[in-house]
Amino acid sequence: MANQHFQIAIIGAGPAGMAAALTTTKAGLETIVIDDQKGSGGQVYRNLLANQEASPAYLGKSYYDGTELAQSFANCGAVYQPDCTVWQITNTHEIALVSRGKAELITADYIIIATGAIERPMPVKGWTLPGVMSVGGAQTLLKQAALGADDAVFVGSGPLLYLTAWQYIKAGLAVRAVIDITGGKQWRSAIPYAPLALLQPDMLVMGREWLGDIRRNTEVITKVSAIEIIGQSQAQGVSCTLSSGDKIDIDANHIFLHQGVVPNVNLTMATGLAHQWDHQAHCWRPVIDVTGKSSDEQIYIAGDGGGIGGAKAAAIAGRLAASAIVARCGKPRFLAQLYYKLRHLHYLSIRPFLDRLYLPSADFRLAQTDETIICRCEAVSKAGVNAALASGASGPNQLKAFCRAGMGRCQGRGCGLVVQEMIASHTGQSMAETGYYRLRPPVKPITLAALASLEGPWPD
Amino acid sequence: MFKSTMPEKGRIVHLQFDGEAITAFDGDNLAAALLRSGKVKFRTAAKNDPRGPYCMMGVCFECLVKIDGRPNQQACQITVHDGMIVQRQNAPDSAGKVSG
Repeated sequence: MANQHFQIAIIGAGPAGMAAALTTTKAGLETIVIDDQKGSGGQVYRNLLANQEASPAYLGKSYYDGTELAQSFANCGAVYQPDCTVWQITNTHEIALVSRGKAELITADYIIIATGAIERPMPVKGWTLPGVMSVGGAQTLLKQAALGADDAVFVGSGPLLYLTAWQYIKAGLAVRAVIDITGGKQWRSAIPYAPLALLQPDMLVMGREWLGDIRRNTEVITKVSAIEIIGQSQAQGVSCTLSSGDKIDIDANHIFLHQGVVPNVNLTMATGLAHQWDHQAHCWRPVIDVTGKSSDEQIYIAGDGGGIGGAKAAAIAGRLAASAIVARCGKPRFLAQLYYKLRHLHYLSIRPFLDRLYLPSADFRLAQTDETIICRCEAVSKAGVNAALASGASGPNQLKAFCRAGMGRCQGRGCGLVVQEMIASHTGQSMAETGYYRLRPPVKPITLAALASLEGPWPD
Repeated sequence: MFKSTMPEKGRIVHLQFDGEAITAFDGDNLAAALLRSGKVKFRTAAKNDPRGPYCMMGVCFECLVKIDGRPNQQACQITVHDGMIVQRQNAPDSAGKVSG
């Protein structure tokens, strides 16, 4: 594949990437889809085609809704490169890949970045202990390996948490408790947007079913002001402080944390694309137009990586970006584009409500105790970050140099938003003014041997 | 402990984790296979801080292990194979010495 050229390169084979490929291949454009996982579907439809045969009912309708898309993608004729990581996009639109230890460069006229979302960090004391996982991680085990743990505790808030707890219950697993950190303040700010959310009745009905089944099958603890994981070498329980001041201790070896998802901006930022701080969703997002076009004319961003909208919005965003590119290749699709734009707006109508309802309070976005680890990779605690702030670190990059937070292998994915907000509250600057780590390629670690395998010319 | 939520099927694959024999199913990713065997501690970070798989999607780098002698492998992104030798990956301890 070395030095190959494609008309369209799509990065990510989740709903946005798969849907985009359907449109570009149908228009006859030579398309490659690159994905770092071993199968298509992204995280939301992970392992969907492999799960068709046994098709466990506990994964639910929202999961199997992706079947037609995944099957069409498998037959669409795009060059599909799984198990392949993009570690750089150069300013001349060379795409640097690494697959099974070998690096390659390809080029493309247009690039669609559809790299999805990651979970918002949830830095509570003890969250690094073995046995503590993100809810997304727990759900991946269920989809990919049909694995679940009895007597687990789910802690946090947001649709993915309720869906996964519901899937656990439907799979016949005993859920010890759900500790819901959604507060009254979030409800009050979200309620004015409830009428708009009614445009998505299916989603609301589904959410109500999840929450109802959870309440009937496990203990739900609300009005929570603080969380701490107990354990020495692995998780042994959760200690939960209620706003009344009462404390509840629950024994558990498996604790799943989640407080929403945010766009995975590592590749888009490292590519030098413009980003903005999203006040409503409290995260960074790339600056894109209605078709997904970024600050670089040749690069489009589709799906959750351009702003959280969920799987169905992502698939439409993929269609929209792809049809905009098809139009630029001389095949205008005015009606299709109008249709996708309206559908996209329709799917997004629930977001103002959800974003406000499930935005965790600052108590949970920021660590509550000095010994809580902020940067997991470098084991930097809240006290360590505060010491760097006290020594005068004035922004994320200087702070990185002072205390190593953000310098590890995950490249800030697990601490960036927390560190940024700690700086902002220390300096009194806004989140936008504070900015984020300066991300640079390679966006995932790559070995020297893999780099050395690259055939020239080298990227700048 | 993690357990199967569906009838187990597939060819049995044999591997070793820190010298202990572990069985997995063909096609399993390594992190899932180890969790199914009750292993949650995969490595230590700086300051002997114990760690295990967290995100299961290749983002957090918490599940790093040594596979067949090669360090820094993301267990959640790698499929098991027969005869795979897996070791916990421990950060340098306070004496600056890497163990394991």
